[in-house]
Amino acid sequence: MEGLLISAYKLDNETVKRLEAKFSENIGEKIKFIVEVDRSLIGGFIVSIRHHRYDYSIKNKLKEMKDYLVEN
Amino acid sequence: MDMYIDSISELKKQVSSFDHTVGMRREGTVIKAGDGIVQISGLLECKYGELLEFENGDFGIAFNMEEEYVGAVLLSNSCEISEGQKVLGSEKVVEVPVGDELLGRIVDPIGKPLDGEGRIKTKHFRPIEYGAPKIMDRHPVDTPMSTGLMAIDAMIPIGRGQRELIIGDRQTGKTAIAIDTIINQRHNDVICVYVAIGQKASSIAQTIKVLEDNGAMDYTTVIVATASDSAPMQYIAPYAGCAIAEDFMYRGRDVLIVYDDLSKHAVAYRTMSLLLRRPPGREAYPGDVFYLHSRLLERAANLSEARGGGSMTALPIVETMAGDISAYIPTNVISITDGQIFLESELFFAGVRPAVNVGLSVSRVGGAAQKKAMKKVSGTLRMDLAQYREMVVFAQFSSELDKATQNLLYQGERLTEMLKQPQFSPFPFEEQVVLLYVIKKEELLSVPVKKIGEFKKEFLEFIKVHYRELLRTIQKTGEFTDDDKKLLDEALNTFMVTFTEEENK
Repeated sequence: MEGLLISAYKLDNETVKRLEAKFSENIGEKIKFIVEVDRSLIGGFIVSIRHHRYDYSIKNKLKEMKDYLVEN
Repeated sequence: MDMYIDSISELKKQVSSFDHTVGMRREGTVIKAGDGIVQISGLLECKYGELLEFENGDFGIAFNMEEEYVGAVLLSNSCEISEGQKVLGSEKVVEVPVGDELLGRIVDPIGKPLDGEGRIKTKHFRPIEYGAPKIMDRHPVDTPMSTGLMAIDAMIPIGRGQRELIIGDRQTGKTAIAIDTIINQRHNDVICVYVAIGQKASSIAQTIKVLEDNGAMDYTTVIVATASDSAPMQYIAPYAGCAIAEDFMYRGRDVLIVYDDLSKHAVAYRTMSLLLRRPPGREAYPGDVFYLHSRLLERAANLSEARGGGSMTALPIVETMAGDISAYIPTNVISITDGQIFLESELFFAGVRPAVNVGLSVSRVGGAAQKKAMKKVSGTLRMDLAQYREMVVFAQFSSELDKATQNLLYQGERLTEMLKQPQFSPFPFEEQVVLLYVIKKEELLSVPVKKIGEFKKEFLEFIKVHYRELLRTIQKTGEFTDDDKKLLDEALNTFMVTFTEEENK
């Protein structure tokens, strides 16, 4: 199965392979990532598999923090 | 300086207490966007009516669930959505903030404040769509919802939990009746919600100012979707208002909600449905335009004691074209509501304001929602006015008619004049009882029709000064005994002496 991996900075092959292995394990199917770079993420990465998104970027964390602080 | 140090340390505390776990979000991709409608592929397990988040922060609602894609409507007017962008599912069906914090506020249909007074600080949200109260959760309507308008409280009485339609052509005073009713709830412990759908922003601003000037904003929430807001915004506005009102109702409060107006609401729904490529029916409205309003109005009810005893009274407003109440949307809403107040342009221009056509107006709850005193004095009013209307054509030949018919005409004229009422001057229940009792008396026939307005004002003042106890008794007991009648007869006699003297001067 194909997944999309968007990282803030270019990742080396080994890191990508490790991520593939980890997600394959969790999903239960062999995942192969298509890799993209997006500097606006500031740090971290976003994984998108089968229309499910896992957002581990700093950009997202900051946004969630902002929402949390505004709420309280 | 200290204030800043405090804020900073408070911020630091909150930041360190921030617990962030990455969850899985369902996402889709935009394949088509235009006219406020977005086609999205991939958003698996999307719920009908789910709130969707677009990349630029805009929101949309999922409305067409097809096999290969989801059709969503945009809540904003923006044109920034383009093909290829990602959309996230929010796991929530559209909800709106509810609670006491809403009182006095002006919000948009998704709960965003429009009055510049800061965020609505409430932890409670309610989905805008909700089932109507079940049959066993209801209690028959038995308490009056007084409008302060004599013509209505006497002959077309509204009860708490009833749905009463206000219908008429443009500029006939429909909103005026609703606003007067809201203003009259000041001391009645009733919370009010006013939903403005598709109106000019300037009109809404004026209405809000009126509410503020009359102290009504203390207990009123206003939900606004102006004419320049997107059709989906105008579509959800009444449901959002209903959810806000429902929250109060299920907490045991009495609520009054005004939908101004449902004609524009139906148009917004038609716009949305046509763009979503749903098949058009009569007058191009979608097939479920009846359900659009029935599910909204059925949520207004009088709850049983077991469910808290609260109530929601709905005053939907519908605009007719050239008085045609047999058109599509008007007939739909008339068949849903528990009665209608029909306003006519002719009456309005003839100076009869509120321009209520008593013959065509009805309240299907009627006397059950009236206090005994009111029932006594208003019992024959409708009939009297009906008889008057039949005879009024002969008024031109008044000199040639018999005494009985003449009296009928005279009394009808005075009654009509008595029922006229300026805006923003509600009459409390006991004052209405007094006036309606007195209008039927012989003595009034000697007062020229033009002076009835003056008579009303001065007689009430006289009563308030010299017979204050009587007013209080009527107000407290809700009854109008024979003793009270005798007292009032006496009062009238005394008053007429000075009044007629003034006349003859």
